[in-house]
Amino acid sequence: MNKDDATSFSVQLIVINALILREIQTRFGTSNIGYLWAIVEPLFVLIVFFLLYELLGRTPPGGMELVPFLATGVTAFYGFQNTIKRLEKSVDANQGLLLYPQVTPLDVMIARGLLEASTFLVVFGLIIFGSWIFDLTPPIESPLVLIFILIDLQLLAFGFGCMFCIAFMMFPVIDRFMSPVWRALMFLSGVFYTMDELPEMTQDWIALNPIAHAVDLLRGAYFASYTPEVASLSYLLEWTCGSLFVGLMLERMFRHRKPNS
Amino acid sequence: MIQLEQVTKIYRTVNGPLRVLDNVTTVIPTDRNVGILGRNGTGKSTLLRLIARAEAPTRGRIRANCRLSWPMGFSGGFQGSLSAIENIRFVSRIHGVDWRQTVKFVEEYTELGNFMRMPVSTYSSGMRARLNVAMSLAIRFDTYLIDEIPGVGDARFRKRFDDSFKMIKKESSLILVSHDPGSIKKHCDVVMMVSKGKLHLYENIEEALKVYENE
Repeated sequence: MNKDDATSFSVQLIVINALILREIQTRFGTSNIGYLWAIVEPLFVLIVFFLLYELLGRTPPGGMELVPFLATGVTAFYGFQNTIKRLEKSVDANQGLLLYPQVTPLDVMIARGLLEASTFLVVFGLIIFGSWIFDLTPPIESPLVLIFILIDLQLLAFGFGCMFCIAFMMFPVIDRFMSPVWRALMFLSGVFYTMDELPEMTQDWIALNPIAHAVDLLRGAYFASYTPEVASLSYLLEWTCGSLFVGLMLERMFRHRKPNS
Repeated sequence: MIQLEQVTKIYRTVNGPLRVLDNVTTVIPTDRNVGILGRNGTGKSTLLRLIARAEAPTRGRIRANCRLSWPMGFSGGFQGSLSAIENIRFVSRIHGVDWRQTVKFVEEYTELGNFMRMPVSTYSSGMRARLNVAMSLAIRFDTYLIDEIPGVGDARFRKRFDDSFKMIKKESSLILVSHDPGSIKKHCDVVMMVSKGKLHLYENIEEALKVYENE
């Protein structure tokens, strides 16, 4: 068994590579604008919120610039949500390919997760680049911390995505419950405010949500003028490790139950 | 050869657990062509999928010392939403084969023409069968796992399938699942009978068919 371990790792890399190429074909290749749409859609969402804020005359708290405030809020949240939603359906969408013994549900999830995470990072980068050109953003205070939190948020999404994927495999009905949950979650994740400005009782509740921590930490890393008081990196990392652990464990436990044909 | 060690496979169904294989320990030879025979719903296809590692047993181990194909059948092995070419690319990549050559070969063999660029889910069963056989010929294995030999299609392709199987059998061996005694007789040397969760090996095909028909 052990003599194959080195090769089984390279087989997995080959499989994940083939899956990513296959995902690109269907996710982005079916229409002519293809991959462009995956990038345009979140930009569109950002622009809608930008116009809403401008029209209502609202400004972000603490003198933060609007575009990076929205990028670290709405865009980060949508990136998180999108990765989970795509992972949830990953096994279902690749059912036919799971017949090949080389391909496990985990490979399918990793392929999708990598693709969604890199698309998200590209989108985020484009927004920052665009707002830099139009002089809508201050220089980023700590770019490395920012990237670290962005990746961490995607890892958190990967862990939850694995859990939901297995749950969806066993009980497809949960799909119906998710839509209102997502809508509520958006308002509970500090997308439109920072945790620091909340009254104490509300703050205690919102501070249970790791996404709210990630959003505040992103803003802390972005703006020199803002230092989050409540958000805690270790709290976010604990959630990330926890979700990855549970997600991967569930995949391992239920891998053999792939409901083929 | 393929070794099964105390293999049990249980499916959960609405009627409670269904025991398809019950603590089976046996050896399936791969130096001869093996026919797997059994009534509908006795677990022939399940056995093939377990051997192919497309599914894991509930308990026990299965070991093989040769390169086994994926379970080839009427429909399996293809992602319906992808075109034939996209499917071929994927399968070639994970098997370390150049996909351009495979596409070329499959195109010639199947004569699918423009359908190669359309989703496999739009194919007729005859077209799927052609694609299946062509794919299995394009990638070499020591032992081919086949779930029913496609009997669909026009006479010309049926002849082509038959020739192909003769060619495969020259270099590789088959494990063929079928409930048709005719194709077992034609292609196999020994028979493995699946019944009541157990496996029995029959060296003599005639004997196996007699048992099968009286069951």
